[in-house]
Amino acid sequence: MKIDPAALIGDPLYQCNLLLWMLQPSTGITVKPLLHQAGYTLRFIEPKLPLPLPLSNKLNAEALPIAEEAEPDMIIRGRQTDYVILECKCSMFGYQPGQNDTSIRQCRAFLLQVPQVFLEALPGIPRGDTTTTHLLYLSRHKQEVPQFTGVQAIAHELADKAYQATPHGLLTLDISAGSIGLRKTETHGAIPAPLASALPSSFTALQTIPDADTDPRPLYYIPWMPESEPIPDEYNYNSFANRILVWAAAEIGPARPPCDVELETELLLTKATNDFYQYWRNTESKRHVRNRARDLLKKEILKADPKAVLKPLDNQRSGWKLTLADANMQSRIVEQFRKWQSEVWITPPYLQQQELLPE
Amino acid sequence: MTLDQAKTREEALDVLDGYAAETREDAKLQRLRRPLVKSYLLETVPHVRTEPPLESIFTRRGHSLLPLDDTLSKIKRNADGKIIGLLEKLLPRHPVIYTTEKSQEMDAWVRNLVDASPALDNLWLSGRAFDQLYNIILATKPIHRFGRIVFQHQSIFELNGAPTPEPQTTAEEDAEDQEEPEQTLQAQEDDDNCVPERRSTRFMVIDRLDRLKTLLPKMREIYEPLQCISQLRFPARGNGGHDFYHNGKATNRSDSFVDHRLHVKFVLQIYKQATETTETAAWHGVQKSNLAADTSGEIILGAPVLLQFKQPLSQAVFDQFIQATFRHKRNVFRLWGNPIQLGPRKVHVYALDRHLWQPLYLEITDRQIVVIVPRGTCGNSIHRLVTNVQQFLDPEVTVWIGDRSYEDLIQSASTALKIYED
Repeated sequence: MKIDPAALIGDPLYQCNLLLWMLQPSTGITVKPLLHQAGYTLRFIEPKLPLPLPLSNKLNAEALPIAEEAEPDMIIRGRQTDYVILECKCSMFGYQPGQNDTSIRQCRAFLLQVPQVFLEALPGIPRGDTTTTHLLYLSRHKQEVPQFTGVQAIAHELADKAYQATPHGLLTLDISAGSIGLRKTETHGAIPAPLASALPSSFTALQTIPDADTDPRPLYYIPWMPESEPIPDEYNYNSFANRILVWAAAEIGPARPPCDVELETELLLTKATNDFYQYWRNTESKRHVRNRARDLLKKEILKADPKAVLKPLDNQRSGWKLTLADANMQSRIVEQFRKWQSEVWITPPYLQQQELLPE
Repeated sequence: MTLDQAKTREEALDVLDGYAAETREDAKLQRLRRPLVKSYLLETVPHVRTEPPLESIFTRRGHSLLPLDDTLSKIKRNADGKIIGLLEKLLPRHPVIYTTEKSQEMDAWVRNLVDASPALDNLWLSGRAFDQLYNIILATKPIHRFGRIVFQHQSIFELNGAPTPEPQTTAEEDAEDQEEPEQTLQAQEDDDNCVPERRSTRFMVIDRLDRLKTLLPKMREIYEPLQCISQLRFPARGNGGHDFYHNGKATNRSDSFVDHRLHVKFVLQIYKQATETTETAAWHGVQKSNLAADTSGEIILGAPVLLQFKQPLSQAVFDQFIQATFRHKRNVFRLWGNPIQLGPRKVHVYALDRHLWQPLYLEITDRQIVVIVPRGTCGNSIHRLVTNVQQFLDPEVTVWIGDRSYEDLIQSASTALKIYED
């Protein structure tokens, strides 16, 4: 289960959760609340940032493709109407004119989020004459390669063609003296002023690595989601299954047998993911996870009691109607959920495409 | 008049007030003692969940509620028709049972009532919460009055013993209805029962408040279990006082039920305010964007709850704590979960509060417990966790809700109380 901290800091899921911990008021025992101390609060997770049509049409006409509805990992706001668009990356990217892969199209769309564009993409947020925007990437530190030249080259190209680009910078996660922390590098562009003041030295420790035998990751606010990890990570599947089972047990436990209990997988997944499931965009991934969750519940219930009566839910809802015959059956099922041990219960859809076929 | 005969709120509360005065008089004259008036402070569910129908909870336990008005009912035992007490919805979310029945019987009855209903829980007053109540007493009561404090801590996860708390003797429960139960401590020590070889403290002090104010800080410096108050007396306006227990029970040792009810309400108000502040600060989840057409999520992040141990737990205590708590169905913390090992002294547990059946996400290490509280989970789960950690793991644990100390939260709750209700 243990993960190498050097690999962990490259995991965008860890990076996102670390940012969320940094945004929370806390004692700093788990993660230093650096962003909170700098006055930032969370505004959006994965909001869509569509560009105004005249702008996107002109970009297309000039063969500068953009992500049509780019979704940064999160947007935070400072004490004023200063917004920071945050994007986590396993590794940064280079750029040569003519290259147009996903990261580059996305980067263009982010860079173009100057205040007047940004306020059109998120028209519900309060407006101010002094609204500012800033694009900030977070990635794993790599001493040996220039990490920010790609973003800078894309920004230069936009400027050369008379487009406005928002200020931009890169912070990297690094390991030093037994801690995971943020590294600020002069060649990595501009850091928003309130955050820059909170980073007095080139390395600011965020989280202590307890010892070589201990996985340093904190509890995650955003749990695993399909395609969120650079490499499959057993912890993610294990904790995800536990979250589903705990919410299913929370339905079964307080019931008063004999009675029926509905285990609707959509609802359980929504609760298990702190509501993030409803924002997953990939419908194939959603269906895959929903089916696997339904199978997991069936398997564990029947393991606890082979005679348990499980009927599919009606009205096209995914899940089971479980008939609890008596308190013993109820107790056995809840105990079986508790005893569940890590096993291969889910395979990321991008690793096993055939599982996407309808069952 | 008796509670059976009372037909109105006024009559019912007059019965308890008269009873309290008579009981106090009996004690003074050393006449045959009767059970004292006791209150059991309960909690239902947070405002985001539907309030349970209390009538059906009592019906399932073989009792009926006979309403006297909108907020006060008599509790009738169906088997013999006896009125065993009153139930008052004293504050929203907080019903209170008043009774003159024996402690020994009512303690067990209330315990069973709560155990049988996930929608009902006791109040959980941790040592940290009692500290703040004690400070209020010192600040507001005449210093010549007598205070009474009981400290209790059992290191049940140390190696030499089973991970179960030592039960309180029934002798003590019986004695609780007497004027003072102190003599039973000696009786316990003389008991022939086997005494497990691990730290176990039960310590009571009765002294004038000014003496306590001077001595207690010094005593605490040299003996940590004194950080863990499990009972505390509020001196009454007249004679006697009101003893509050860690599990939400309060015994009236004054001659006035009205004064008792006012103290019960005062503690409940502080508790309710602290619980709701905890929930507001700690709950997290995603709220839909304010744009109907927008599918993005505006997230409300809950601040983490942190219980930081004074000293790191030894490997043996850590292992025993995890084993005893999550491998045994019946554990004192009443937690359910399947620990995911992240190191020799670190686990993540996606747990359930087994009583309320509400999820809690825990990171437990040898140095701290971090709790993430999903929206809707009752703040009472945090109070119970703090109470149990102080009583069974570390009496000196410090608690934070985000960057705010738990003591500060309770202290603020007491100063924020409205003088007049809406």
